[in-house]
Amino acid sequence: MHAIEFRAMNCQMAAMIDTHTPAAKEMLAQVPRWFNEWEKCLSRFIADSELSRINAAGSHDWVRVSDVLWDVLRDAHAAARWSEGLVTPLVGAAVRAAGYDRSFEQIQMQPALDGITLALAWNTSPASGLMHDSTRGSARDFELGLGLEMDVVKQAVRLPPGARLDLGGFAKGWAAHEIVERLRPYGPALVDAGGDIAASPLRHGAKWPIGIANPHDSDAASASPWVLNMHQGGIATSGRDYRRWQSQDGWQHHIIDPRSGRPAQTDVLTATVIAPDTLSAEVAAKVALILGSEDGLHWIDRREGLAALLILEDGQALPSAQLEEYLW
Amino acid sequence: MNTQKSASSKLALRGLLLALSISVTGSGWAFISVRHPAPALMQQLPKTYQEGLKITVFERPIAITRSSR
Repeated sequence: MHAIEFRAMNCQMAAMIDTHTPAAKEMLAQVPRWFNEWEKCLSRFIADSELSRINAAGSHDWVRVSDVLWDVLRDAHAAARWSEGLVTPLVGAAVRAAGYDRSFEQIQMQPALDGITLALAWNTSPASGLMHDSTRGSARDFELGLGLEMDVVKQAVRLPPGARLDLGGFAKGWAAHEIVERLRPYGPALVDAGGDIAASPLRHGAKWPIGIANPHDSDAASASPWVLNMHQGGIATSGRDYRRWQSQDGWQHHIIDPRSGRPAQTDVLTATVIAPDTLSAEVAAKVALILGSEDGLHWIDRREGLAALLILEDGQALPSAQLEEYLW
Repeated sequence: MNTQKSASSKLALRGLLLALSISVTGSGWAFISVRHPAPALMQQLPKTYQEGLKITVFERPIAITRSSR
């Protein structure tokens, strides 16, 4: 087993491949560079990133984007529709207004925030506006999903008024999946992008054991009482246990409920979802957290291929109907 | 004494299951994810046998999912 660990996208990353060939080791060594390249494109904390250019252009101008950003935006757009508008990349303005206006490391270093106004300019509209199939490519072919306009011919995007992009979770889920696909020809691989995990199949049907951190006992994360078996696919956890901060209005966190434009008010502290792919797991985990335990589990149970464990503020751990089959 | 015997029986049963798993794969490669104390059991296998089979045994979770950090 070759493995590496490094930091990127303001998170701890790990990648491993279950073979001993020199070629696999060389490929694995490329992983940090790929993450760094994508971070320069997808981060809202880097002033000259592609994402920052779109946010700077606002609703005034169309901005042509690279293949990477286009892929992530297309996936994020699909995720917004799948989640019925509950998870959208257009929360950049809301999350900034809540106080998450610089990298979390910087917030930790400078915890005393100035007065934060939560009167948001951004306003969500439900996922009702997908006007054209993105594969048609007519002269001027738009997708207007959740207000984000995507010109598939020019590969350009434009924001709705007042909106800003935040691709944090989407970017990590997309990157984990992309890297596993690149490593797959060299051997069974697993990528952990700050807790969002993608894996390709182990040989002989064996399974990767993945622990779920206990948010009430972070020091004991390695001795997690919950361990899932994953043959391939994705696992992600969404939580308000870590990236949170105090403002004049009390504790804030980074998971925005688009219905209110504010950090989600929920009884769920962390939501972990196992899904056929990492981005689906990431989106479903956010949905479960935003909806709260009762509606969140109902949402998960209605969708094939998903299983979840919700850990509540009071310490309860609530499994979805399908979780049992994944327990180690 | 009884406790030791019981533990020994459990270990033997796990050994049997492990051997069966290895036999079933039949290709010289076996990847087995099993609960503790299987790693201790693996250590009892002859070294050459372990290396020849290239068995990957996960003693504990290979990764931990948590909210982004």
